[in-house]
Amino acid sequence: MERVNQTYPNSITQAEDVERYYTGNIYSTYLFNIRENHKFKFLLGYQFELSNSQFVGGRRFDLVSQSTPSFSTATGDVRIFDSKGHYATEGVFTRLNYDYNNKYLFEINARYDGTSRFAVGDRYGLFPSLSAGWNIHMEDFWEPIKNTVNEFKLRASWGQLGNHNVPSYQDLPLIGIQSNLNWLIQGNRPAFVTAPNLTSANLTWETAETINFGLDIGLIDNRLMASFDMYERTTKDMLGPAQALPATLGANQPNANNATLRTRGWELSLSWRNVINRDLNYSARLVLSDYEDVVTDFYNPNKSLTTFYEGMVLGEIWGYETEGLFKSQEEIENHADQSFLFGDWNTGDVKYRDLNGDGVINRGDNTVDNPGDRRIIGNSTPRYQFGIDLNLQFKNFQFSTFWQGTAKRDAAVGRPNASWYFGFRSPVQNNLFTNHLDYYRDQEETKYAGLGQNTDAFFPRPYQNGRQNRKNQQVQTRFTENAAYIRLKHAQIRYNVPSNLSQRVGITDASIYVTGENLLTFTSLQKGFDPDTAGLGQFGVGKSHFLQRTFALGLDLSF
Amino acid sequence: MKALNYFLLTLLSLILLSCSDDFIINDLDKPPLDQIGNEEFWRTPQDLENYMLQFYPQFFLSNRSGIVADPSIGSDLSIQFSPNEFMNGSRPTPTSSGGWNWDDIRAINIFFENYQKVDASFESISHFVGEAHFFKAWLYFEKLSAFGDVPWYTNSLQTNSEELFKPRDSREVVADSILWHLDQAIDYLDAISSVDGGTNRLNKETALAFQSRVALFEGSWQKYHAGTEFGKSGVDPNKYFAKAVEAAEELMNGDYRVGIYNTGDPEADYFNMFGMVDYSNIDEILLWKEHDQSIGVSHNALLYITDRTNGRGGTFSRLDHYLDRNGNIINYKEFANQNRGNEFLEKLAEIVDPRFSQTFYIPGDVMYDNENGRRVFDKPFLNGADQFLNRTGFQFKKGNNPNLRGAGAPFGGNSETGFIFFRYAEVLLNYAEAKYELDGNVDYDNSINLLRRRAGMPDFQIPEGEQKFDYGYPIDAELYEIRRERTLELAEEGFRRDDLRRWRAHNLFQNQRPKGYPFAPEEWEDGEVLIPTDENGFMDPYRNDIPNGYGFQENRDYLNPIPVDELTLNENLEQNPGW
Repeated sequence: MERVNQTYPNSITQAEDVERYYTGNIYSTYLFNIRENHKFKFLLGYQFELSNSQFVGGRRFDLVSQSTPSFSTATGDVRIFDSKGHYATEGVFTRLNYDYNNKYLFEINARYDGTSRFAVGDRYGLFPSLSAGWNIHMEDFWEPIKNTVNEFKLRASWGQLGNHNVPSYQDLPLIGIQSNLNWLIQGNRPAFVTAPNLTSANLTWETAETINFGLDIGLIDNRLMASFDMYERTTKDMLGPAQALPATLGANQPNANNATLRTRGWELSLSWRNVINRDLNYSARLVLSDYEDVVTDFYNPNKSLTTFYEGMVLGEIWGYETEGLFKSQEEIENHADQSFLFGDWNTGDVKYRDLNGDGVINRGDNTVDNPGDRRIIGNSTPRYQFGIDLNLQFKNFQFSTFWQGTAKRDAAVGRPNASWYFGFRSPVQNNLFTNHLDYYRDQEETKYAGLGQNTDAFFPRPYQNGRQNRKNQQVQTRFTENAAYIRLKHAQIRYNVPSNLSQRVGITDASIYVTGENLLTFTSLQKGFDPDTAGLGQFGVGKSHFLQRTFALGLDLSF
Repeated sequence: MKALNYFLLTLLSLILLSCSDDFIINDLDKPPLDQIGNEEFWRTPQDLENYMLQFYPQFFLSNRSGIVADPSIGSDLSIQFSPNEFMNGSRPTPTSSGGWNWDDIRAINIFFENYQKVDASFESISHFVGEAHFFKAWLYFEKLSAFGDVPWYTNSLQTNSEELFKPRDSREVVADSILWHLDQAIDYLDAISSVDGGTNRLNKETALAFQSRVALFEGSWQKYHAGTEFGKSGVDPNKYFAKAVEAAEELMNGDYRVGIYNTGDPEADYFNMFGMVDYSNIDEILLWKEHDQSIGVSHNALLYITDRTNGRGGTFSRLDHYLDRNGNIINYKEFANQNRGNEFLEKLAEIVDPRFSQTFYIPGDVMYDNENGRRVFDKPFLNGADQFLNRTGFQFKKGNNPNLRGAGAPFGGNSETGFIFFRYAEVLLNYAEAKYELDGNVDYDNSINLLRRRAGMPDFQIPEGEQKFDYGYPIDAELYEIRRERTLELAEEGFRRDDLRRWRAHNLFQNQRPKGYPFAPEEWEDGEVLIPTDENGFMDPYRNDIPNGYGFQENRDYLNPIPVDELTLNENLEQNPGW
């Protein structure tokens, strides 16, 4: 890559990134039958990965001419930088399949894997799995109903999978080497080093153990197909978040195998296909799924809300309950003491409900048992996610649409400093849209005549002082929104030119189509937020790239 | 059966391969290639030097960032946008962070655990060890000042360390430990004359100056908070005053490169000293940060003095710190009855201590005169908006240099003036105050008079007339004068908040509103100035914000709250009084 900076002083940066990645997969399969009906398949293999990467780059300032950027045509300071890395994995794996008359199916798997990311002694993991299937429709007793219920299969499986997806060297204390200190010594910015990180002893594989039960049904000449799965996955030795430790530790906690997570979910797929006649056919397909993650083991004896705790449902949102906005000074004086959040309260500020009735609005100990006046006000995990495919063919026309959505989800988009949501933030970085003008005003504005009073406002009174603004922007019911949505993700109309016409000009097949992506979205989220990215955003809630709506006109020709 | 044979062959070879714990084909030992482990570090003096450099940015991360700090951290003598939360008692209790960060203290402790591994003579590493002692003191003084009692840590902790859950140590233990570390720093650090990096580098003089600061802080805290929830029984303030005097007198004894910047121009020397790019040859400056825009280290401070105010303005109560040029008390209320607006500033400048007009703009002052053009201050920015607004009429110019490129320049880090962190004048003021508190026998000629002479003021004396400030407890006229002198000399250098706290001086501002200068409506168009005035025509910027004045609560607000989460995570921690 090569880049020329337009800023002053200009500079050229050139860098080269090389990764040498070797991988091998050696395996052998042995098939054999015992008598006619007992089919066996045995597989054994070895797999390895080796990666060596190197990045080298340089920068030189003060180009003589921007039209010929190179190190040689620059006259200023030279800087160089590099990085190097490597990792390796290897493993043996084996599988045994057994099939009796295509009625009973069994499979046993095992992997024994090692990775360079973990230290000797914690490096290898054994991951077995088992599965069984029963094609009940192959049984003799199924014959009477086989014409209606063409397929009926039961499945069950149990297995463990390993994950070593952590940064390397979490077990080594490494010194940070930095350049360009923000302090001049004898006119220069010296290089410097920073303290070694904390390390994690005995870091090893994360193991996900899954039990799954499934059912496949085919009805009416397999026109109606249904498939249903239920599973429970237990992630043991999970690389969880930092434990609840006092800040006097003085460093980021290293990754550790410190949590157990239980996921329960199900998945349903239904499809219907029908051919009415040569000119008309249609199909529909629905996929619906849901899951919930619960932390079942994590060291957090006080159940502090700063991190995982036992019994926590992932995605839960703790917040205050909003009573409304203060309408009068009297109302403020008669209400619970909110000075934990800020010293001054005015009309138009948020009135938080005194949930525990102690006359004070606060976070208590910020624990599950004493959360003060907060409670779980929602969950940000998308629930009941679905996709719907609809297709219709009529003579030479084809219509297809794909819808996707989430039926249940909460988004705490109104949180401290979320200027995209509140419009006002502090003296800088305000993002005002017209809907933000619905903020509390109890007097005629003198400077910007015309806005008038607005005491039934949705948004609270804005302040210039960021901290004072934040007192009204606590995570709370009023500003937590329903992020459920349905979106027309894809739609297409296609016309297939009759082949007798196209062949006259030497074309075998010809079709013309119009496609649209992200055409419609139905959601109750505040304008300016996208349901896919609400709650995300590198520069604060909602500040992200939106999905683009695109249209395409196309022509397919084959000769 | 041929297939079975091949299969068995493969099986056999794989079993052979996997006999060892580490397979033969692939080596899974992959040590880091571009990072240094802690075990390979700590070999040479250079390693120690490189490690200590990381702490230098601490100086401007802290609140003492020189010329723009006072109203943002809390002062009764200047204001910024809206009422300061510390002054107003409206700070919320944080759930996390809130100054309770221990990363740097851990990093310093790691130095102490490792530096002896370096194979070199102590002379070749003593300066770096001295830096470590200084920074440990610096970091713990931040904690002591903010929280009072804090846990003292000698070693770096691990995730399973029991010390994570220890209770707080008494502030006396903490203060004494800080002073001990500074004793070591003073012993080990090179003096300015020999240190590599001059006054951009920690030096013996700075350690002495800092020791006088810490000891004076703790001595006055113990004296004036005695008997309250913030005092400690059985602590003798004089042991700290004596330490402050000892450190200051060591610097004053003539063996060190220290002095007061005085070219014999009392109308300009004080002002000029705060607008320099290079302080390396100014004896008064003991430690400062150099800036150079071409290598990306610069700031915007001059923009905030010449183009806009950053919302800052001085208060009327500041005036009572300034005597007239003969050293007599001025009745400012009366003076304001006769002179208003620009005339007030102009006439005052003629009769008052010259440091007044070197701290605040007077109509006719040049704001900038350089490649950005020329601008003359014609009147305070009472009609600006937000960052351009001055709400009091007293507009700061201290820190400006009209000829530098940064003055009048737009955003973009065009200011390159040095940031001062330690100057000798503070040491002299620390000395005078600590010495008076200790035994009442102050050598003014070698301390405060040096500052007054620079400004063309007569030598220290106790003026006749009534004391304007009521600290809430009686103090001697001489101590009153020492505090007054300190406050005006160190205006807007980040000291006021700590001075108010250690003097337990809430009576100076509690339930009072900061006022500005006497407004002259005839100088402005109707409706141009939106700042309220009081019944006597003084600017009254917070009239609507805090009708009852600053809501400071003296049984709570002198210390910061410990974050709620930390109290939960460590049940042995106790919250500070009132929170």
